[in-house]
Amino acid sequence: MFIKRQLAIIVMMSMGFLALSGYFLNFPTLREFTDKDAPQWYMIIAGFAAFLGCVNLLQLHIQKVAKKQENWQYSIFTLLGFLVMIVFGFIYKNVDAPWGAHLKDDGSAFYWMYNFVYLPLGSTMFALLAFFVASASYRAFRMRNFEATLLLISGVLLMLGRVPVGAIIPWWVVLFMYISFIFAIIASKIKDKRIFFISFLSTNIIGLVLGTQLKWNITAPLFLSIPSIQEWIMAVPATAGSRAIMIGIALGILAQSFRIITGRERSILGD
Amino acid sequence: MNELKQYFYFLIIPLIVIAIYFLNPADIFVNGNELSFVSILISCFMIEYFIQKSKNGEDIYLRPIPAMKAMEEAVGRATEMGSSVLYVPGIAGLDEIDTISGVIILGHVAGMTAEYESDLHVPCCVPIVMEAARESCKEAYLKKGRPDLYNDRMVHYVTDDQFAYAAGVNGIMLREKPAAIFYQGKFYAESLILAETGNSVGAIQVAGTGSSSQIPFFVTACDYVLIGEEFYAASAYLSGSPEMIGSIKGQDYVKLLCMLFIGAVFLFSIFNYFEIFTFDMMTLFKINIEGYSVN
Amino acid sequence: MKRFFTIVGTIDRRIIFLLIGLSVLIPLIKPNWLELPIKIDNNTQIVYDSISGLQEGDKVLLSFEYGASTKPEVHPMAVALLKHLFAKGIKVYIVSLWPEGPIMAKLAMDEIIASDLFNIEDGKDYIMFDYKVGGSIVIKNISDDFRGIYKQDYNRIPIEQLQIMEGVYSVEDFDFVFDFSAGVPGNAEWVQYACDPKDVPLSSGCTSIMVTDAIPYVESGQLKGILAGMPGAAEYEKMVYDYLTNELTNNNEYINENASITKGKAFSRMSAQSVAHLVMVIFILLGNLSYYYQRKRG
Repeated sequence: MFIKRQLAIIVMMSMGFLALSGYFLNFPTLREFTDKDAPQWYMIIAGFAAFLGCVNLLQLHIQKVAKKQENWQYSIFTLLGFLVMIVFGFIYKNVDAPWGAHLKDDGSAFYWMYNFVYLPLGSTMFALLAFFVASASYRAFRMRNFEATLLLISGVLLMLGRVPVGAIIPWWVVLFMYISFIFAIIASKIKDKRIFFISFLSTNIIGLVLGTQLKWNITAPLFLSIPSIQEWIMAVPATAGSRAIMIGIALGILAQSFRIITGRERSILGD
Repeated sequence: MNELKQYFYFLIIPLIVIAIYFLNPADIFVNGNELSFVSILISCFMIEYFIQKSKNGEDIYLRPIPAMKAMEEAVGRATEMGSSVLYVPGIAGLDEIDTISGVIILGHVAGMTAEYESDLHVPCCVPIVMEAARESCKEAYLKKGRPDLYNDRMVHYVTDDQFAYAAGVNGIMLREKPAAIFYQGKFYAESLILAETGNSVGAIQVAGTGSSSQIPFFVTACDYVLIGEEFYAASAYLSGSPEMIGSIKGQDYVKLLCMLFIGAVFLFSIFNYFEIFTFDMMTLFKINIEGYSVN
Repeated sequence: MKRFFTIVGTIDRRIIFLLIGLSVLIPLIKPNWLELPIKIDNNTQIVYDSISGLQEGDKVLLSFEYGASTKPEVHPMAVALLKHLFAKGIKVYIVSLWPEGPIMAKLAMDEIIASDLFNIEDGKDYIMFDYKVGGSIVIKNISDDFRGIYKQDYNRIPIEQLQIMEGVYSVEDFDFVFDFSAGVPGNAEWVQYACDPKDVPLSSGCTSIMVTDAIPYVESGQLKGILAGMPGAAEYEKMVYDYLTNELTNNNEYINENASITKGKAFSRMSAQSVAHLVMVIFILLGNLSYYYQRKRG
């Protein structure tokens, strides 16, 4: 019980204070420990833990195959893939390169499998995001309330502004969007639908005529260019929000770390 | 007397330490690091002050976080439907605070699943996290008096690779169709893949992460999300202990200090623009640590 | 009409997936069907100007921090940047902080060598180092003591024997640092541990998802612009293509006379991305119209 609880807390607290002290105290031995030795200890522990993970993986899948549990056939593929990579990584190299360097040699089987099996699989999984983003956007970008509408508008503007198609959207489309947005806000104030429709139409016509007179068809102002609007959204509100969340997260990490280093956060030890 | 003691402990001692740091006798402190030192010292003493206040019985109000209440609802729903609870602790190692927070919340969720007698499944991306998660779950089940319900196969390792892990967890979701899914930890690009698949199986999803770029994806696809520091405060919130709650209040006051600082820098920049002052505040915030050579 | 919007509102997600898939596939197979002009983003221009401001013989440190899954987004910008640097006679130093980084760097260099644009020599014009475990710790060590962490290059030649390593002891000896990142460690760690404390100019090329995290550093000037995902890569490829074409006609000593200059992969993929984004926007608008009609109905 002492090893599991008190000793664990003592080690946690002392390592935490040591690492923090290494940042402020001017002792080369301490700094070398915190900058070089301690991370290397972590890497060694993580390396052994990786071995543990491999053992766990093998255990789980061999058991599944042996006991013919549900979907045991897929476990055969997992085990095969695992063994093949182990063989070509550690046991058999079909090139003259030294061990380790053979992993990056063009002619090695390991590199071939990385390039033609792992790389396309990884890219494919990342490419799935495109489909999921589409279905998530379709579901989530609905005008339920004011904030959701803002999210919708900024999402659409960013999506169009980041790609070449945004640059070819003409100024009068953007003007139409602004006018529609303003009228959407004041719509509840205008009871008569006919007046609403006529004022909306006439505002658009006036805008078009004004824009043509001001030669916006030749050089559109920045606020009517979707890429420029996109740049502004990224540079101002997105940056502000991002900064605020970053500061909040940093403070959350500070408080959490303080609780761990002072031994107050014991739930990780099961307490 | 008590107040005098607090005054001495939380005001005089930090000032003395700061003075010693700036005086730097015998060059024992690193030069160029003063800003970090002062910031950390003030933050730590502030958090400690509120922890002490809370321990002394002061009532501290924490605003209700919907996602925290939803956790118990989610586990209850899984029990009613006779389905399992899937807990995804993220893809980073234990060196990330997000993962530590995730494992802490796992302990609480495991306690709930023990109480409600529903199945818990925890696929892990990093072996060392698997071990920590196992310990956390085992202790939770033991505390609830249901060690019989726990078995090691609940918490298992999938793979280290980000998208292979996402594929593995997706497969678990589509086969087992859990009624409740928790995403609590560090996530990267695979977050949307996981959340959308969870949405497609009709599970109630509660997410929490410190990865600010992934929060929008979770907000879009999940039912409840712990945003930013709510996630770190969750462990304190769930434990309900005065020490933990006091630390959240202290953290809030540190944030207030940050806001005052931002305001001050903003004002100074206006004064500089109109040439009322010529002091460049940016020099205060530069960290120039003197390097050291390794023999 | 109302029936149409009602159907659209309850559309099976697989139909959305199919349409998105087609909108990406068709422009990729037939890129000539849709050629859109690329508008250069302000941040990409800043990156280009920063690199253009470097002189012959300057030292640039490149850090490869991406892997197979993010290769389509980040790799084209790596290749474009390498072309830009070699065309200016700049010395390139390549480090990798991700396990897949050395392979990505090797693939990029293989593409440059295969293009036959430049006569570059390993150990003289560029040097590659192998993957180092440690993430931000490695960055901190590069910042303080480069030679303490890298004793030999990718080909196991001791760095003391390499001419290109003369005068390189820490990150301050580099004129510019460029980071290709897809996660952690990434541009934030380079800002925090190396370039901002040591006042070395830094820029980054990253995936689109990471841009919101990096943008505060760009706005504060700690990052000199940013290449944001595939659009950023396409913009930079276009600028480098125009630069190389111009330099070839001006008999640039670093570019081979008979070399053929190609635009790059990201450039050809932008039409696919444009169509996909347009299809998504149309679906969002249709979804909202359907939502509006359903709400009106009760």
